Amino acid sequence: MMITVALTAIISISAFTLYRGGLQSSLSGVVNLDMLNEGRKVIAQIHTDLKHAGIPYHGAFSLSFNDLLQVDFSKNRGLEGAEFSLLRFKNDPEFVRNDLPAQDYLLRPLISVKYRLEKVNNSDLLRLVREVNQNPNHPGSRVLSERVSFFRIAPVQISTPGSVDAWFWNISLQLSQRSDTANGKEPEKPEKTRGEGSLDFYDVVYSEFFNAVNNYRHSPRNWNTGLKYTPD
Amino acid sequence: MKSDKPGFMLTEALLAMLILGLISSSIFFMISASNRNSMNAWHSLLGEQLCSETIEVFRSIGYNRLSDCHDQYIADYQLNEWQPVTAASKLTGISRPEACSVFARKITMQLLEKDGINGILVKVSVKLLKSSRSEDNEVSCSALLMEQP
Repeated sequence: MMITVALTAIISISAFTLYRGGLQSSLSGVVNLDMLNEGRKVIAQIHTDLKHAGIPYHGAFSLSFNDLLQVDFSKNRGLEGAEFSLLRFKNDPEFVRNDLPAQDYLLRPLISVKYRLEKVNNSDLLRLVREVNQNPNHPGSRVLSERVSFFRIAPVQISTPGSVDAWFWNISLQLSQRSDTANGKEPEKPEKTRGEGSLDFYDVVYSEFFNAVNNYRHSPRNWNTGLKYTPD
Repeated sequence: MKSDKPGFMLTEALLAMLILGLISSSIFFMISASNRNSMNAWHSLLGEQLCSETIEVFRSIGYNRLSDCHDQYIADYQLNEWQPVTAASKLTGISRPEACSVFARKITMQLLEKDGINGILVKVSVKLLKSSRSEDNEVSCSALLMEQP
Protein backbone atom coordinates (compact mmCIF):
# COMPACT_ATOMS: atom_id res chain seq x y z
CA MET A 1 0.00 0.00 0.00
CA MET A 2 2.80 2.40 0.92
CA ILE A 3 4.61 1.63 -2.31
CA THR A 4 1.43 2.31 -4.30
CA VAL A 5 0.88 5.64 -2.54
CA ALA A 6 4.51 6.62 -3.15
CA LEU A 7 4.28 5.70 -6.82
CA THR A 8 1.00 7.58 -7.21
CA ALA A 9 2.59 10.64 -5.59
CA ILE A 10 5.59 10.43 -7.91
CA ILE A 11 3.27 10.10 -10.90
CA SER A 12 1.13 13.06 -9.79
CA ILE A 13 4.07 15.35 -9.06
CA SER A 14 5.82 14.58 -12.33
CA ALA A 15 2.55 15.00 -14.25
CA PHE A 16 1.97 18.40 -12.61
CA THR A 17 5.56 19.53 -13.24
CA LEU A 18 5.29 18.45 -16.84
CA TYR A 19 1.98 20.26 -17.26
CA ARG A 20 3.33 23.47 -15.69
CA GLY A 21 6.56 23.36 -17.71
CA GLY A 22 4.69 22.66 -20.91
CA LEU A 23 2.28 25.51 -20.28
CA GLN A 24 5.09 27.97 -19.55
CA SER A 25 7.09 26.81 -22.53
CA SER A 26 4.06 27.03 -24.80
CA LEU A 27 3.15 30.54 -23.60
CA SER A 28 6.74 31.72 -23.88
CA GLY A 29 6.97 30.29 -27.40
CA VAL A 30 3.79 32.06 -28.50
CA VAL A 31 4.93 35.38 -27.01
CA ASN A 32 8.38 35.03 -28.57
CA LEU A 33 6.90 34.31 -31.99
CA ASP A 34 4.59 37.30 -31.57
CA MET A 35 7.57 39.51 -30.66
CA LEU A 36 9.53 38.08 -33.57
CA ASN A 37 6.81 39.09 -36.02
CA GLU A 38 6.40 42.49 -34.39
CA GLY A 39 10.14 43.19 -34.50
CA ARG A 40 10.34 42.09 -38.11
CA LYS A 41 7.55 44.51 -39.06
CA VAL A 42 9.07 47.41 -37.11
CA ILE A 43 12.48 46.88 -38.68
CA ALA A 44 10.93 46.62 -42.17
CA GLN A 45 9.05 49.89 -41.65
CA ILE A 46 12.14 51.76 -40.43
CA HIS A 47 14.20 50.25 -43.26
CA THR A 48 11.73 51.57 -45.86
CA ASP A 49 11.66 55.04 -44.31
CA LEU A 50 15.43 55.35 -44.11
CA LYS A 51 15.92 53.88 -47.58
CA HIS A 52 13.76 56.70 -49.00
CA ALA A 53 15.24 59.43 -46.80
CA GLY A 54 16.16 62.65 -48.54
CA ILE A 55 16.27 66.40 -48.14
CA PRO A 56 14.96 69.21 -50.36
CA TYR A 57 17.41 69.84 -53.12
CA HIS A 58 17.96 73.39 -54.32
CA GLY A 59 20.56 73.09 -57.03
CA ALA A 60 24.11 72.43 -55.97
CA PHE A 61 24.60 71.90 -52.27
CA SER A 62 26.85 70.24 -49.81
CA LEU A 63 25.18 67.29 -48.16
CA SER A 64 26.23 65.60 -44.96
CA PHE A 65 24.83 62.21 -44.03
CA ASN A 66 23.88 63.52 -40.61
CA ASP A 67 21.55 66.05 -42.25
CA LEU A 68 19.18 63.26 -43.22
CA LEU A 69 18.21 62.10 -39.75
CA GLN A 70 17.82 64.31 -36.70
CA VAL A 71 18.04 62.60 -33.33
CA ASP A 72 16.68 64.48 -30.34
CA PHE A 73 17.45 63.39 -26.78
CA SER A 74 16.79 66.87 -25.39
CA LYS A 75 14.09 65.69 -22.99
CA ASN A 76 16.94 64.18 -20.97
CA ARG A 77 14.98 61.15 -19.83
CA GLY A 78 17.13 58.57 -21.59
CA LEU A 79 15.35 56.78 -24.36
CA GLU A 80 11.97 58.00 -23.14
CA GLY A 81 11.00 61.04 -25.16
CA ALA A 82 13.71 60.48 -27.76
CA GLU A 83 12.74 61.48 -31.27
CA PHE A 84 14.18 60.48 -34.63
CA SER A 85 13.03 62.76 -37.45
CA LEU A 86 13.58 62.54 -41.17
CA LEU A 87 12.16 63.56 -44.50
CA ARG A 88 11.45 60.83 -46.99
CA PHE A 89 10.10 60.38 -50.47
CA LYS A 90 6.69 58.82 -50.81
CA ASN A 91 6.34 55.26 -52.05
CA ASP A 92 3.99 56.29 -54.79
CA PRO A 93 5.53 59.01 -56.96
CA GLU A 94 3.52 62.08 -57.77
CA PHE A 95 4.85 62.86 -61.19
CA VAL A 96 3.01 66.08 -61.75
CA ARG A 97 1.98 68.55 -59.12
CA ASN A 98 -1.08 70.41 -60.24
CA ASP A 99 -0.63 73.22 -57.75
CA LEU A 100 2.57 74.38 -59.42
CA PRO A 101 2.39 76.96 -62.17
CA ALA A 102 4.61 74.85 -64.37
CA GLN A 103 2.79 71.57 -64.61
CA ASP A 104 5.41 69.89 -66.69
CA TYR A 105 7.85 69.29 -63.86
CA LEU A 106 8.68 65.88 -62.59
CA LEU A 107 8.59 66.06 -58.82
CA ARG A 108 8.56 63.69 -55.90
CA PRO A 109 7.32 65.32 -52.74
CA LEU A 110 8.92 64.74 -49.37
CA ILE A 111 6.95 63.85 -46.28
CA SER A 112 8.01 64.20 -42.67
CA VAL A 113 8.38 61.04 -40.56
CA LYS A 114 9.11 61.01 -36.85
CA TYR A 115 9.79 58.06 -34.55
CA ARG A 116 9.07 58.81 -30.91
CA LEU A 117 9.62 56.74 -27.77
CA GLU A 118 6.99 57.19 -25.08
CA LYS A 119 6.53 55.75 -21.64
CA VAL A 120 3.95 52.98 -21.29
CA ASN A 121 1.68 53.23 -18.24
CA ASN A 122 2.52 50.81 -15.41
CA SER A 123 5.55 49.50 -17.23
CA ASP A 124 9.18 50.39 -17.72
CA LEU A 125 8.95 49.43 -21.36
CA LEU A 126 8.60 52.04 -24.06
CA ARG A 127 6.13 52.63 -26.83
CA LEU A 128 7.50 53.28 -30.32
CA VAL A 129 5.28 55.63 -32.29
CA ARG A 130 5.67 56.49 -35.95
CA GLU A 131 4.24 59.87 -36.84
CA VAL A 132 3.75 60.88 -40.46
CA ASN A 133 3.12 64.48 -41.35
CA GLN A 134 1.90 64.02 -44.87
CA ASN A 135 -0.74 66.66 -44.54
CA PRO A 136 0.05 69.39 -41.99
CA ASN A 137 -3.62 69.56 -41.03
CA HIS A 138 -3.96 65.82 -40.49
CA PRO A 139 -0.81 64.30 -39.00
CA GLY A 140 -1.18 60.56 -38.61
CA SER A 141 0.49 58.44 -35.97
CA ARG A 142 0.68 54.71 -35.41
CA VAL A 143 1.99 52.68 -32.51
CA LEU A 144 4.53 50.18 -33.82
CA SER A 145 5.33 48.46 -30.53
CA GLU A 146 4.64 48.80 -26.83
CA ARG A 147 7.46 46.63 -25.55
CA VAL A 148 10.61 48.39 -26.63
CA SER A 149 13.48 48.15 -24.17
CA PHE A 150 16.18 49.49 -26.48
CA PHE A 151 16.14 51.44 -29.72
CA ARG A 152 18.90 53.18 -31.59
CA ILE A 153 19.61 54.43 -35.09
CA ALA A 154 23.31 55.23 -35.43
CA PRO A 155 25.24 56.39 -38.51
CA VAL A 156 28.00 54.08 -39.72
CA GLN A 157 30.79 54.97 -42.13
CA ILE A 158 32.46 52.19 -44.09
CA SER A 159 35.68 52.58 -46.02
CA THR A 160 35.11 51.00 -49.39
CA PRO A 161 37.21 50.45 -52.51
CA GLY A 162 37.69 53.78 -54.25
CA SER A 163 37.85 57.23 -52.80
CA VAL A 164 34.31 57.64 -51.49
CA ASP A 165 33.20 56.14 -48.18
CA ALA A 166 29.79 54.56 -47.82
CA TRP A 167 27.35 55.72 -45.16
CA PHE A 168 24.68 53.62 -43.52
CA TRP A 169 22.34 53.59 -40.59
CA ASN A 170 22.68 50.80 -38.09
CA ILE A 171 19.31 50.11 -36.47
CA SER A 172 19.23 48.27 -33.13
CA LEU A 173 15.99 47.24 -31.52
CA GLN A 174 15.26 45.13 -28.47
CA LEU A 175 11.75 44.01 -27.57
CA SER A 176 11.06 42.54 -24.14
CA GLN A 177 8.29 40.89 -22.22
CA ARG A 178 9.57 42.62 -19.13
CA SER A 179 11.83 45.61 -18.70
CA ASP A 180 15.28 45.49 -17.22
CA THR A 181 16.96 48.29 -19.09
CA ALA A 182 14.95 51.46 -18.53
CA ASN A 183 16.79 52.94 -15.58
CA GLY A 184 16.49 56.60 -16.35
CA LYS A 185 19.66 56.74 -18.42
CA GLU A 186 20.16 56.13 -22.06
CA PRO A 187 21.66 52.64 -22.34
CA GLU A 188 24.61 52.44 -24.67
CA LYS A 189 23.72 48.98 -25.83
CA PRO A 190 20.99 46.44 -25.17
CA GLU A 191 21.19 44.34 -22.04
CA LYS A 192 22.38 40.78 -22.48
CA THR A 193 19.15 39.07 -21.54
CA ARG A 194 18.60 36.93 -24.60
CA GLY A 195 16.41 33.91 -24.03
CA GLU A 196 14.68 35.55 -21.05
CA GLY A 197 11.84 37.21 -22.86
CA SER A 198 13.98 39.59 -24.93
CA LEU A 199 14.65 39.53 -28.63
CA ASP A 200 17.21 41.65 -30.45
CA PHE A 201 16.88 42.90 -33.99
CA TYR A 202 19.23 44.88 -36.16
CA ASP A 203 19.45 46.17 -39.67
CA VAL A 204 21.78 48.13 -41.91
CA VAL A 205 20.36 50.49 -44.49
CA TYR A 206 21.57 53.27 -46.76
CA SER A 207 19.68 56.17 -48.25
CA GLU A 208 19.25 55.88 -52.01
CA PHE A 209 19.23 59.64 -52.28
CA PHE A 210 22.41 60.17 -50.29
CA ASN A 211 24.15 57.30 -52.03
CA ALA A 212 23.42 58.83 -55.44
CA VAL A 213 24.52 62.30 -54.36
CA ASN A 214 27.63 60.94 -52.66
CA ASN A 215 28.74 58.69 -55.49
CA TYR A 216 27.72 60.81 -58.47
CA ARG A 217 28.02 64.37 -57.31
CA HIS A 218 27.41 66.04 -60.66
CA SER A 219 24.55 63.92 -61.94
CA PRO A 220 21.09 65.47 -62.19
CA ARG A 221 18.68 64.50 -59.41
CA ASN A 222 15.72 63.71 -61.54
CA TRP A 223 13.53 62.64 -58.63
CA ASN A 224 13.30 66.05 -57.06
CA THR A 225 15.01 68.71 -59.08
CA GLY A 226 12.41 69.39 -61.69
CA LEU A 227 13.62 67.78 -64.85
CA LYS A 228 11.56 68.81 -67.85
CA TYR A 229 8.79 66.30 -68.27
CA THR A 230 7.79 65.88 -71.90
CA PRO A 231 5.07 63.29 -72.42
CA ASP A 232 4.91 61.63 -75.82
CA MET B 1 -6.71 -13.01 -7.82
CA LYS B 2 -8.59 -10.20 -6.13
CA SER B 3 -7.16 -8.13 -3.29
CA ASP B 4 -9.21 -7.52 -0.15
CA LYS B 5 -7.67 -4.12 0.50
CA PRO B 6 -8.86 -1.01 -1.35
CA GLY B 7 -6.39 0.90 -3.63
CA PHE B 8 -4.20 0.11 -6.59
CA MET B 9 -2.13 -3.02 -6.95
CA LEU B 10 1.56 -2.73 -7.67
CA THR B 11 1.06 -4.08 -11.17
CA GLU B 12 -1.63 -1.47 -11.87
CA ALA B 13 0.59 1.35 -10.58
CA LEU B 14 3.52 0.10 -12.67
CA LEU B 15 1.29 -0.10 -15.72
CA ALA B 16 0.05 3.45 -15.04
CA MET B 17 3.65 4.63 -14.73
CA LEU B 18 4.52 3.01 -18.02
CA ILE B 19 1.59 4.66 -19.81
CA LEU B 20 2.34 7.99 -18.17
CA GLY B 21 5.99 7.62 -19.11
CA LEU B 22 5.06 7.12 -22.75
CA ILE B 23 2.70 10.11 -22.71
CA SER B 24 5.26 12.25 -20.85
CA SER B 25 8.04 11.43 -23.25
CA SER B 26 5.85 12.24 -26.24
CA ILE B 27 4.84 15.56 -24.63
CA PHE B 28 8.50 16.23 -23.84
CA PHE B 29 9.45 15.65 -27.45
CA MET B 30 6.59 17.90 -28.55
CA ILE B 31 7.77 20.74 -26.29
CA SER B 32 11.33 20.16 -27.39
CA ALA B 33 10.29 20.31 -31.05
CA SER B 34 8.28 23.46 -30.37
CA ASN B 35 11.26 25.14 -28.71
CA ARG B 36 13.53 24.03 -31.52
CA ASN B 37 11.13 25.46 -34.11
CA SER B 38 10.95 28.69 -32.15
CA MET B 39 14.74 28.91 -32.07
CA ASN B 40 14.88 28.02 -35.76
CA ALA B 41 12.53 30.92 -36.54
CA TRP B 42 14.75 33.25 -34.50
CA HIS B 43 17.91 31.95 -36.14
CA SER B 44 16.34 32.18 -39.60
CA LEU B 45 15.52 35.83 -38.97
CA LEU B 46 19.06 36.58 -37.78
CA GLY B 47 20.46 34.69 -40.77
CA GLU B 48 18.28 36.74 -43.13
CA GLN B 49 19.40 39.95 -41.43
CA LEU B 50 23.06 38.97 -41.79
CA CYS B 51 22.52 38.21 -45.47
CA SER B 52 20.61 41.42 -46.16
CA GLU B 53 23.24 43.47 -44.30
CA THR B 54 25.91 42.24 -46.71
CA ILE B 55 23.76 42.76 -49.78
CA GLU B 56 22.92 46.28 -48.57
CA VAL B 57 26.58 47.20 -48.10
CA PHE B 58 27.67 45.73 -51.45
CA ARG B 59 24.74 47.32 -53.27
CA SER B 60 25.71 50.68 -51.84
CA ILE B 61 29.29 50.26 -53.05
CA GLY B 62 27.99 49.39 -56.50
CA TYR B 63 29.31 47.52 -59.52
CA ASN B 64 31.90 50.06 -60.61
CA ARG B 65 33.89 50.04 -57.39
CA LEU B 66 33.37 46.34 -56.64
CA SER B 67 34.66 45.30 -60.06
CA ASP B 68 37.87 47.27 -59.43
CA CYS B 69 38.44 45.50 -56.14
CA HIS B 70 40.77 42.52 -56.26
CA ASP B 71 41.28 42.12 -52.51
CA GLN B 72 40.04 39.29 -50.37
CA TYR B 73 38.43 41.81 -48.04
CA ILE B 74 35.91 44.58 -48.60
CA ALA B 75 35.75 46.54 -45.35
CA ASP B 76 35.75 43.53 -43.00
CA TYR B 77 33.73 41.31 -45.31
CA GLN B 78 35.93 38.41 -46.31
CA LEU B 79 35.32 36.89 -49.73
CA ASN B 80 35.15 33.21 -50.73
CA GLU B 81 35.66 31.76 -47.23
CA TRP B 82 33.49 31.06 -44.23
CA GLN B 83 34.06 33.87 -41.75
CA PRO B 84 32.70 33.88 -38.17
CA VAL B 85 30.33 36.78 -37.55
CA THR B 86 31.15 39.11 -34.67
CA ALA B 87 28.64 41.02 -32.58
CA ALA B 88 30.48 44.28 -33.12
CA SER B 89 32.70 45.07 -36.06
CA LYS B 90 35.65 47.33 -35.20
CA LEU B 91 36.32 48.16 -38.83
CA THR B 92 32.81 49.02 -39.94
CA GLY B 93 31.29 50.03 -36.59
CA ILE B 94 28.21 47.91 -37.28
CA SER B 95 26.79 46.46 -34.08
CA ARG B 96 24.78 43.27 -34.18
CA PRO B 97 22.93 41.24 -31.55
CA GLU B 98 25.14 38.96 -29.43
CA ALA B 99 23.30 35.97 -30.88
CA CYS B 100 24.87 36.70 -34.28
CA SER B 101 28.21 35.39 -33.04
CA VAL B 102 26.95 31.82 -33.41
CA PHE B 103 26.91 32.28 -37.19
CA ALA B 104 29.48 32.10 -39.95
CA ARG B 105 29.09 33.88 -43.28
CA LYS B 106 30.45 33.26 -46.76
CA ILE B 107 30.39 35.85 -49.53
CA THR B 108 31.17 35.17 -53.17
CA MET B 109 31.25 37.54 -56.13
CA GLN B 110 31.01 36.45 -59.74
CA LEU B 111 31.53 38.75 -62.71
CA LEU B 112 28.91 38.31 -65.41
CA GLU B 113 28.76 39.62 -68.95
CA LYS B 114 26.15 39.21 -71.67
CA ASP B 115 25.76 41.25 -74.87
CA GLY B 116 28.04 43.96 -73.52
CA ILE B 117 26.07 44.32 -70.30
CA ASN B 118 28.14 43.73 -67.18
CA GLY B 119 27.11 42.75 -63.73
CA ILE B 120 28.24 41.12 -60.52
CA LEU B 121 26.38 38.30 -58.85
CA VAL B 122 26.82 38.57 -55.08
CA LYS B 123 25.92 35.45 -53.12
CA VAL B 124 25.78 35.37 -49.33
CA SER B 125 25.35 32.24 -47.23
CA VAL B 126 24.95 32.20 -43.47
CA LYS B 127 25.06 29.09 -41.29
CA LEU B 128 25.21 28.20 -37.62
CA LEU B 129 28.73 27.43 -36.44
CA LYS B 130 27.63 24.50 -34.28
CA SER B 131 24.61 22.57 -35.30
CA SER B 132 23.69 18.92 -35.21
CA ARG B 133 21.66 19.32 -38.36
CA SER B 134 23.56 20.72 -41.28
CA GLU B 135 20.94 20.42 -43.99
CA ASP B 136 18.51 23.06 -42.75
CA ASN B 137 20.60 25.64 -40.95
CA GLU B 138 21.89 27.60 -43.93
CA VAL B 139 20.29 30.78 -45.21
CA SER B 140 21.34 32.11 -48.59
CA CYS B 141 20.48 35.10 -50.69
CA SER B 142 21.91 36.74 -53.78
CA ALA B 143 21.75 40.02 -55.65
CA LEU B 144 22.70 41.10 -59.13
CA LEU B 145 24.53 44.43 -59.25
CA MET B 146 24.54 45.98 -62.72
CA GLU B 147 27.06 48.34 -64.22
CA GLN B 148 26.20 52.04 -64.09
CA PRO B 149 25.09 53.03 -67.62
